[in-house]
Amino acid sequence: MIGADAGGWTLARQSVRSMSLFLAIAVVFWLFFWLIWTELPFLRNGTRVIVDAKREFIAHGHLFDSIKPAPNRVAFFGHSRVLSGFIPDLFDSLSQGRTESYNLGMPGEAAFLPRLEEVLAAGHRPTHVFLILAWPADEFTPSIWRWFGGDQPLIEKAFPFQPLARDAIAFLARAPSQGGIRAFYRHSQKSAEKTIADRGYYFIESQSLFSDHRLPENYNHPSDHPDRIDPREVPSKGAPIERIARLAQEHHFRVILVPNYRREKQAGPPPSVNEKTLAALRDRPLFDIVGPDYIRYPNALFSDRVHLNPDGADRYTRDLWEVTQHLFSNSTGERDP
Amino acid sequence: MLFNSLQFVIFFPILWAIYLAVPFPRRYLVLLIGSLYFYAAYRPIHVLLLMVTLVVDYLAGRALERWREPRAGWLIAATSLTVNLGILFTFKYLGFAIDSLNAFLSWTHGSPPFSSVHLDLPVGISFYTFQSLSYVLDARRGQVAIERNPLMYFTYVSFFPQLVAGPIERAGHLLPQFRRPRQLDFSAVRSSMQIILWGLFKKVVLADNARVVVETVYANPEQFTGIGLATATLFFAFQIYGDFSGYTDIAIGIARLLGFELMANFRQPYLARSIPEFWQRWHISLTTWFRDYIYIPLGGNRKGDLLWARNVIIVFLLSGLWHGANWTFIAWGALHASYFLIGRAVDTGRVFLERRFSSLRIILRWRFLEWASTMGLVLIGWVFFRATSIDQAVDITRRLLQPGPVGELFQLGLSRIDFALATLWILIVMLVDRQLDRPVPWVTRQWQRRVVRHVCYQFLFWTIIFFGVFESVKFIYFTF
Repeated sequence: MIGADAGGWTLARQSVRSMSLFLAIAVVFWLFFWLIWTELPFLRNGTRVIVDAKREFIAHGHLFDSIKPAPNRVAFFGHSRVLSGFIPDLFDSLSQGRTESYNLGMPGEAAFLPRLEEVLAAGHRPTHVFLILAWPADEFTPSIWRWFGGDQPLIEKAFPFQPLARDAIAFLARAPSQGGIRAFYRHSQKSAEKTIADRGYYFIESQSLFSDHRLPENYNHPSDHPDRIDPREVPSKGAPIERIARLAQEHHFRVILVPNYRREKQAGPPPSVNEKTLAALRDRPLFDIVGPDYIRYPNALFSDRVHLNPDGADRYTRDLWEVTQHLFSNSTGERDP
Repeated sequence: MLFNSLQFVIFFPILWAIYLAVPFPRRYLVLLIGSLYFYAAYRPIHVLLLMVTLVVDYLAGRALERWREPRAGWLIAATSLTVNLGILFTFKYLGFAIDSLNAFLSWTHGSPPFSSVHLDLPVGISFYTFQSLSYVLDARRGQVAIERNPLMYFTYVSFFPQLVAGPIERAGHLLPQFRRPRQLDFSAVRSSMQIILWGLFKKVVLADNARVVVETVYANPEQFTGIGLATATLFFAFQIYGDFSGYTDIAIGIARLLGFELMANFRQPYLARSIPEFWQRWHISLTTWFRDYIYIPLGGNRKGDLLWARNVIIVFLLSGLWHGANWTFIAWGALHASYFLIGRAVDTGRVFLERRFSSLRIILRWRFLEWASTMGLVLIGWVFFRATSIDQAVDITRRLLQPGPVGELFQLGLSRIDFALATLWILIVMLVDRQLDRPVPWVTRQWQRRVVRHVCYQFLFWTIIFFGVFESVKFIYFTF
């Protein structure tokens, strides 16, 4: 099989040595990167620092008061729009103590289901699960032809420090304008602590490029279509919705689809209620939809083309309270008759 | 199954180990089973379609061996062509043909008479159909030995490294390699690893990051000025190059690990200094296929300028159509045909000017000017290749040089850092291509040093890990 002459063996030995050397150096680098990743946790991208802090808190903290929990415990799942748009403290003060809420928005996470399961597995007991994005129509099941649903999660497992290089470059690029590397590192650390203190709310300052964190009034983005409605698609069947329904039943919570938000120039005004979604959820007693698919705000309330600034978050939280307060009219968190 | 997927990372070592463990005479069967599984992983039902092509062309080969009269040979080849091109037409072009007919009849009669048909396109159908057809055509000309073992023939066409996106191999080159006993060649293993690493870099780092800019701009081109449009077109040029040549590199590396040498498909195309040179460097296996089976049989350049021009136009229109069922691809082919024809006239004029005014020679033969004008023409061609309609392509081309704010560069879907990195990947690929094309002795000497090589390997590996896109983005040419 393998060339047995002297030259062949020499070449074989050299090649094996060369490949072993490559692997050995790669292992050393792996350890080096892992060490940086774990020892310098605030070298990461601002939003990743927040995700890590939240995940840590989900695993070891108390999302809701463990001694005297409020009758209505709201866990709001979603991506960075939730993170930067929902202020739990404000929401709870508007409810005058009837709610205790937590912002579980995680940047880049459209699939909230694993996070919901993580929260429930950690022993947190929400009574209301708020969502701005619907669940997918279907989920991946392994087969002989397709073994994995996606490679990215597996790569992240094998190389947990995968974002390190990109984050470090971004960190070093921003550090001079933030008072230097050390000051910026401390700033990131404080951001994480503040997010936990703010019950998961975080203003994504790193993406805000305009003065006063306000998007200019004349700002347009190529993907804007103010003449088009951007309806939310809500699958009424499929494995994911069944999984959520099962969890809702087991853990006694209700799933509430609440309005998302858009810039006024981004999409046209939606109908006050999405009738299609309403029909899709008609036979689901633990599912609700409140308000329109999204609320439109002027550019001045955005810090970048996607996320709200603190004024915008204030407004959105108040609007959310307006459309959801009827859910908390009694004190038990149970559905109104 | 994609080369850039973890499933393949697990699949291939298993297959390789079995392949090496099985005694030589049976090894091709391991490859056949592996190849059919590899193809079935895309869509199992499409294996049946592949099998039809394999069986028909195998039988055509055997029939050509048995009936050697020219008329019989012609009939057999015509049957094979009809079946193969019939399948290709049905799955790839029928919907386009009906839509085009409907559009024409709506224009003349007011309403479209036929309902649209859109079948699921089998991955790589154009590649394996052309490869299988070349065997029948070569067999008819007596240029290739007839393969009597059906399973061996099936293995040759379905050989998984090149099944879905080429290189489009020839039986005379690849088929005998299945019969040749081979030992595990460690120098080949080492060079395979290098080329696979480089191919992966081009695919998951260069192409898949450039893709973000291309998709952002080409989804709404009307929203961008010339800055955004030109940048996206340049990024598309490197996306498609990184994607396709990256695939080819991986295919060549995988085949080499199994002991096979596939033909080269790219030779640093963006260093070409003329359009004919570009076509000697881009998708070489397809270009030579059209040359051998269309251009030369039509007379090539042997029958005067007029027929030469006709042949060039036919070849490029067919090449455009081969890429996809859309008028934009046909326009792309037509554009390259016009480059060829106009280029020849320009060359004649240039030679004339050089003779009359020798002092102009330095400008007329200025390498940079030749390269830049070739790149410009290729980029305009890519606009038509990437656009979704002729109208969109014309609009983009018209506005490519329209001035706009530089800040638009950072509204193309990538952050400033990612945009800078994407530009860096393009530069790296161009520098490596430059070195491969015209080696700088100092760099070649450095490459001989083990330390330098290992630094490069580690750099590529970690760049792939840190900046690669692992969402299993399909290769662009799979859809052709």
